[in-house]
Amino acid sequence: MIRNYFKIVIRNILRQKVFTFLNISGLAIGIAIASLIMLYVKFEWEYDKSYPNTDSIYRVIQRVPGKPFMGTEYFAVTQEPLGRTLKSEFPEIVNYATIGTWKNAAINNSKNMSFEENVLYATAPNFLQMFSIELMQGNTNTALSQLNTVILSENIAKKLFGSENPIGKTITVIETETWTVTGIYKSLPANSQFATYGLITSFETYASGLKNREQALSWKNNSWYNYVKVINGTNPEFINARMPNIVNKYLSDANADIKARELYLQPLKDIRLYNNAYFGMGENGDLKTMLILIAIAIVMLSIASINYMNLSTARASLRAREVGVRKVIGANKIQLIAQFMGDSVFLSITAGIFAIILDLFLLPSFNQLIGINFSSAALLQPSFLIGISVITLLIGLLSGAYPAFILSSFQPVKVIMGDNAKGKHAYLRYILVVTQFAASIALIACTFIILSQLNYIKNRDMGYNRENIVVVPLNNNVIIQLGPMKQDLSQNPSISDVTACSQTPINIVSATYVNIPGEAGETKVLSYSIDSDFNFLQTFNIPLVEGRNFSKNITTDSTNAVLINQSLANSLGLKNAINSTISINNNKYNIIGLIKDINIHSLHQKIEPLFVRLNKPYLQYLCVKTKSGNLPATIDFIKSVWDRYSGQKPFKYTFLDSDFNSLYKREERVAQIVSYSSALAIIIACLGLLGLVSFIVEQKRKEIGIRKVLGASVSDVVGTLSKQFLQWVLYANIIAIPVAYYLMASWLQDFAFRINISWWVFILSGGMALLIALITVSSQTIKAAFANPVKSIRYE
Amino acid sequence: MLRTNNLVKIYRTEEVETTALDNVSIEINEGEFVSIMGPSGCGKSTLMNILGMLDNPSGGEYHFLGKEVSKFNERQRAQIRKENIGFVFQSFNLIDELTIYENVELPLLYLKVSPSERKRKVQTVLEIMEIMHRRNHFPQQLSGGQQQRVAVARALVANPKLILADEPTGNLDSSHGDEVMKMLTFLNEGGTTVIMVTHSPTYAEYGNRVIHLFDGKVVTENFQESFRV
Repeated sequence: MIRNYFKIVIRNILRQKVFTFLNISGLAIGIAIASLIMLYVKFEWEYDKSYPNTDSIYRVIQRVPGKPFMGTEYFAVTQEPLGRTLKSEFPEIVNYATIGTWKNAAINNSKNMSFEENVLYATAPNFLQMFSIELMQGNTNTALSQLNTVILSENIAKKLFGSENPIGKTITVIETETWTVTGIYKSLPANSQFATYGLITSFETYASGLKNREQALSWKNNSWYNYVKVINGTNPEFINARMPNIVNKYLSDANADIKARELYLQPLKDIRLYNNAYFGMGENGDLKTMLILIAIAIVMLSIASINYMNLSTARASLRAREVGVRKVIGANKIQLIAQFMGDSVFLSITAGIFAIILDLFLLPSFNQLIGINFSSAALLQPSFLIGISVITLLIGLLSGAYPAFILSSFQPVKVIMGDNAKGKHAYLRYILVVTQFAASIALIACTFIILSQLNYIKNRDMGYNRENIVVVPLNNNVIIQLGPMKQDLSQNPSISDVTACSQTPINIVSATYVNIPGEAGETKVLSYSIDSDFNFLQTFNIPLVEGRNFSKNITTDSTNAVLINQSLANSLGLKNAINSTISINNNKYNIIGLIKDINIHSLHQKIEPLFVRLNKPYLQYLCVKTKSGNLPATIDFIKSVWDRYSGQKPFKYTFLDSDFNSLYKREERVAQIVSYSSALAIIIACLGLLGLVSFIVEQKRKEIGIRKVLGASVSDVVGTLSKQFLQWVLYANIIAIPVAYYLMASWLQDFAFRINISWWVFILSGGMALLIALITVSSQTIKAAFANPVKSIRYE
Repeated sequence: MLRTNNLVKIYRTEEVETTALDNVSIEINEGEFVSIMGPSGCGKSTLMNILGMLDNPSGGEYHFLGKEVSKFNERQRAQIRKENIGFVFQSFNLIDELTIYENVELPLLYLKVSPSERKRKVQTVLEIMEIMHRRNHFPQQLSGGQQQRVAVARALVANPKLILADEPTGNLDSSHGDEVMKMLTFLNEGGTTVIMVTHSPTYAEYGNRVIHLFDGKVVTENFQESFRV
């Protein structure tokens, strides 16, 4: 019997090739997209969950209430003594690890080849035990017990030493320290926050090299990460409740400035997706993008299954007679349901197989889109295949259920006698098509809105110039000779200004407290700061509202002059800022100029207080404003000057405007994802529409013939046939507009500066959907309208 | 074999109530060949559907092989149907996606007959119907007469006690029509009861009895035994 069903399925497929192709390809695209998203969601979901003790590990974070920095009051960095103190104070805490990080450290291997690697300093062996880091060579307890020893991840060991055994060999760090390799550990999975660190050394090795060791390791210094492991099943709230005691006992005296501090345990598994603490170790996950992706996966799957269901029911109604015959001959309802379910599942499994093949082709672009590097092996791992199979089976069963139950309940008499059930149950089909188009239109509208917000962000006047500015990271050699170097650079007529600064204005992350001397400590204002050289304002075209810029001729400018922005003046309550005195870290500065408020962060944040002072030791970037024109030649020139002063340090540079654009990587990503998926959604919806139209046209062949015989023109026929479909798309608009509006309004909430959602977006997206649907529909209706009526009438 | 008692069938739409069968009482014995005649809309097909248990009557009794089946549910009717009745339709009703062989085999599949037995039975009927050489073709590739022979073969393959033929010659020219009638007569001679609806007086005469229906009522029953001798 199964063979009989199978034959019918195969022969139906062969007989209705186009139909089947539309049916399978729509579903395959839907499953392919959804399964890739599933891969990503799984990756993020399992982040930091691979350690055996994940559930009992917490990171200690601190909150500084009322003093937001970069939009948050929470910080991931704490004090060095905190970890061991917590362990001794709380019996529930059984282990701790204090960690420091150093990114892009210059490492030389024994053959003196240079690498840039991320180094982790940790209280070993606590750290290795807590995170169950396995040593493939070396001993967990003793590997890092000596000063200047290091363990390498398997991958880094290969990179630094190739096939040689690295144990006992040495590496040189920033050309000054020599470390001996004492162990190799198994590389951590890519979805763990320590994965980007390939070298682990002991905390002592790091601390021994610190100049101001006492300060750095005191309760005053907040630059370390502390992790603790609690007894299994301990409620972290019990520990959090007693944290104020720790703050009172150890932190209050040390930090007289900021009395109010709070400490919390943050579950390790929440760090990736739910972190709100600034200065974290790894990149935060992107919960919002993940949720958007999940929503898109659901939308795509629904659109694809709706298609599948619609086309299957349409196709199935052609089989009404077969059902009748089978019933007369003796098939019971269960057998018929099984047959149609089986049919549907067979097709959906075929689509599932195509989806996996499609995924293999899509994977590279997908990796680029989300910034994670999945290998194609990830597509063949059992959990992924099981996931696809479950989705496929479910869709097959669900979409098979409708035709199966409808068809199997046909009265055989009616079907056999030609009272065909075609066209009944069509309402559900219409509703499904409207839903599909509503989803597509909403996605298109979202695409337009996201793209115009992105466009707005990139073209908004930030208050300073970022065009044609080359940014070169400095080093100590160059800073010492900055004056002559700037002199040399300004000889070139293509270079209009040169300055140096601690940070470029695009995203300023250093801040300190400012107050008016003599006033109580509570009026302190947290202000972002830039340490700069002369020419800072000119280079970035930052307008001066009042007062004057720094001058080389006034010697006190280098020691106690400061420029503040309007926002800082307002926060301090200064009406006449010029020549007032402010106190920064207990040093007095004279305000010589008031600068206009400029945006110093991404447009997610509002404009914040800022001061600029001359402070040579903190300079980190050379900023060269060039005249537009022969840029490569200008860069060659900058390089030649650089080589003269840098003591053979490599020349690296970026452009300020591309640095600026990278602030919106996340938004770019969302924009790309949404625009690709809206394109795919409309394609799948149209595949479904195409199938449905051709089905209905086929059914109406006789009606069309009769109309033509009675005198209808081709355009009459096309109009009559198309009107109905276009009505659906109009209804879809009515659903789509409020949904898209609501979603986008909440997305835009994240931006301090944002566009207004304008009505044309909806007209445009609705119009686009209508146009695409019109083209799809008329491709079929026109063909039908031109057909010779005699043929179609005789056909019955 | 079967007996009806005051069979009534009423079709209702919102406004109209149509009485398709009005107190029809007939009795058909095993081995008979009964023709049912009457103008369009007289209730012939309705009667056939009820006799074939494709439909339930609105009132009256229907005894099939000694059982009162008029109140049976769909599942029970299907069971009796597949074991005892074979159908032949005017429009053949073959499944286009199955070959001739597979179409004929279908009733046996639903009766869960073993594969070797199926093969033997299908081959036998295909040979009887002289359609064996076409067994791997699809219905669309055959002429109307050949298709109807396949339909008869399918009705026959499970060895039913009763064959219901609803205008089996309606879509056929006279030579093909004659062929089909010969087949039905041949089956009847082998002991199968045949009930056939027809418009054609000529073909009606193949039966040993003609029942005339008019406006849902039985008007005459002619025994034709005498004519055929």
